[in-house]
Amino acid sequence: MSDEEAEPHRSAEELIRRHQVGVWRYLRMLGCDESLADDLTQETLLKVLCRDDFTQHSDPATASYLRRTAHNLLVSYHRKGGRTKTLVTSDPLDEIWNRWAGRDLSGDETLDRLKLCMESLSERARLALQMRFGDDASRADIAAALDITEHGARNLMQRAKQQLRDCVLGKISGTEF
Amino acid sequence: MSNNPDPQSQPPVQWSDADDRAMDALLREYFHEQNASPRDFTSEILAKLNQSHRHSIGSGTQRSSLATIKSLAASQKSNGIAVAIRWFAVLAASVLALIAIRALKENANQREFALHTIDKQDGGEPEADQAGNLATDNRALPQDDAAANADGVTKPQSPTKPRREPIVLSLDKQVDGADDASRIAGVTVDAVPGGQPSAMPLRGSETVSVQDADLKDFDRQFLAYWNSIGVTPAPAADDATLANRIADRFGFLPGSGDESDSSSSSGNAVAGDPVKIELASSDLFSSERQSRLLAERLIKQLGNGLKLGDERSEQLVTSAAEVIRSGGRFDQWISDWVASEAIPSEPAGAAHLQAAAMGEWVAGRLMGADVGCARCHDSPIDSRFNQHDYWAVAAIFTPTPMQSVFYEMPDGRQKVAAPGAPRRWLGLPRTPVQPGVSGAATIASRAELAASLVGNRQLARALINHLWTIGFGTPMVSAASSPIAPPQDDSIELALEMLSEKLIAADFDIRVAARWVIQSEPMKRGTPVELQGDAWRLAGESQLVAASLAQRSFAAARSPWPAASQAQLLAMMESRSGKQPAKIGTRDSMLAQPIAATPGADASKSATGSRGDKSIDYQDYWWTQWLADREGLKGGWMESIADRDQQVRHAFYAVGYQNVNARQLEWGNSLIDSSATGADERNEEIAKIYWVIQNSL
Repeated sequence: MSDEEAEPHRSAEELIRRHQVGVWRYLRMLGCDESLADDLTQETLLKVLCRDDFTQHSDPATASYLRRTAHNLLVSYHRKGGRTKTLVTSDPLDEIWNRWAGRDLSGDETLDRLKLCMESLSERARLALQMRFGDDASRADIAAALDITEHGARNLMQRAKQQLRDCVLGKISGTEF
Repeated sequence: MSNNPDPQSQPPVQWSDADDRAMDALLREYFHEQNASPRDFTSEILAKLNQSHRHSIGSGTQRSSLATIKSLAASQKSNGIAVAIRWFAVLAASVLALIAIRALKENANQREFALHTIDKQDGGEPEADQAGNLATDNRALPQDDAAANADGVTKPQSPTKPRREPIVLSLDKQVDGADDASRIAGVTVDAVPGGQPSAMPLRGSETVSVQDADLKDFDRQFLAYWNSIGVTPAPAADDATLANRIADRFGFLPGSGDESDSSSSSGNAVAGDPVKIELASSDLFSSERQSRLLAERLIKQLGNGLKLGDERSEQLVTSAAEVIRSGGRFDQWISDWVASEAIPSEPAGAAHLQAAAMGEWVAGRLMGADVGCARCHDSPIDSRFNQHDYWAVAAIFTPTPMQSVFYEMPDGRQKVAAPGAPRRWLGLPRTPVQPGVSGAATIASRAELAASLVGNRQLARALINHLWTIGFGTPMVSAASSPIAPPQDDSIELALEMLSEKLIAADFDIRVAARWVIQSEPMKRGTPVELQGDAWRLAGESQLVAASLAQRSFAAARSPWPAASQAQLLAMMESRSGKQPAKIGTRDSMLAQPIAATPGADASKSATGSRGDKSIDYQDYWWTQWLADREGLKGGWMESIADRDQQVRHAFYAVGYQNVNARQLEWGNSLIDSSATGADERNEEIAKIYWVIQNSL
């Protein structure tokens, strides 16, 4: 058992600090925008900390419980908003989160790995991703900037993302990309 | 733009949606490191936790664990500044609350404006000696209290983002005696073409209950609705346009005499002609002709799904028109209809399917229950509607009374459902057996079901939605499963509640509600500026999206829609998305480009059946509509279906097809761009299919 798991009972403040980033990133993975992720992260932690029967067994167990609560809150949110969006069940998402973030509760290490992996991309691929995710450019704009078709732009980005995914997951599992 | 294939454009490797989302989220955070990274919420959560803890100790309704209390104590020590700020906030909120209570006392003779639920929860004015505590606990923490809901889940709200205040209060603040509600929606009188002042009602400081609401109160809910969803209403329509619209929807021109009919009025009432319309007449729908016109439209709405023949339809129209004209109880008339309607003869030989058609008609059409999903599986959208109940309602309508029906569950197993309509589907409580003991949860006979419709509030809501559909093309509050419904809001719910209450108070005299529909503020709105004339050709995508939302939320009239076949719409989309060489326009742009025809002029041709070769001219216009509607389709339930075949099938279901055949499925699948691998691209493909089915002939 690691040091993290050896001390199950953390103060509320410490628990929030340890888990808030992980919950926030998990909600972003579920499709929340930043504002909604902010709201639901607070709701999740508040709801769990207010529970009488909440027990801290270990950090991974607490993290998993928080993610499930966050998922349920998001489902409730969509249902009450009238724009019901049935989400993927939380189990496969939990599995994917564990694959991406591993034992890192916050996901910070994954982001660090992503930064390293970015360097392995071609200039055009980086530019395409920058336009798409940094500038919210449309596919048509990206295609025009790179002088390729829209389909070409889409495939370029898909392949770049695939390359990044393999790289990040490879670093997590210890096999270099 | 070059069409050279990109050297890297090899088919991408498949990966799951969740992986895709994870990568997208990480990339967004990577590229927006400054403003898309998680913040530190520790002090905010601890402050809320502390307040929640104090509240629970004070009320004695909740206990906190020792660990939590200890951790709170520890966190308080380390957060001295935060505690000071928190106490200051509580003190300031208390002062504000005391001022508010004082103002309330001064206006004690004013009526209280509140939703039913708020009435029930609050139980009236707080006692004077409790006011201070209430003010501290509730008013200083509006997020916690106002957002509480039946599930005990608090609606999320960022502490850094101001929560939208209760609609009525915000309206009071903004109008502030000036009484020009158009200011709320950002429309000034000067901005209205022709200088016609807005017909929007005035608003004073007085508040009213749902039961006492009048047309002005009703209209105010729409203003609040538009305000809350960020929609700018279109300018008011001129008299000729308004006359055309009413004639088109209801078949007559109010105030022009009973003999005018839809064809003459809609054909002659053009801009510039002296048109006299009288919306405020108390005689609307009281003449023989007007009541019949309304009856025809209502039967078309209410009878959808029954496959009524001409003869049966005529019988129903005649009897309904008589009830309308005489001001009789329309709920009683519907009850009689349900009790006497013959079981549909289609599909031939399948008794359980015929019974299902009847059950769905009563539950879905007459009661407004969102039961479509429950035919094949429990509704994933609304847990009230499950498959067993669906077939139990169907069993009420089997040819042999009290006969159960078999149905197939999603896993292939067969199950039997005994007759029984859940009372909750009808908005009814369990039958009381004795005080404190709940009674029957279902209605087991057709006669009892029909009788339960008399005076039924849910029936009133459904009738209002049907009237609204006659006037505006869509219900006032759409079903949750509607893929392109506008955002819901308390104000629009309240408007529906007001009009339902009006109908109930008038003993289901349907004319009263129909008059409100025809006189309402949304009916007076014109078409969006972006869609007037040729303006759409130059409008940007965001403008088109805003115009689409305005139309769907009744803040603007629908613009003429050139008719098209599915093949035409698809050819247009394919030519735009690069699958085929561009056929139209001179540039490959996301915006509409100038071409020959104007949509309004050609729409009139298509309405008379002379669409023909000119249809290609509409492609730019259709494209703008797709761009606009696509926003509304994002995030819908269809995207959450994993299987592609099922997505296509459900796209047909969502439009209203019940039996999707292999040819339709094949057609739908053939439209999907197989190279679309990302979640966004795949979702767009299914939205495209739904949109084409929905909007084609």
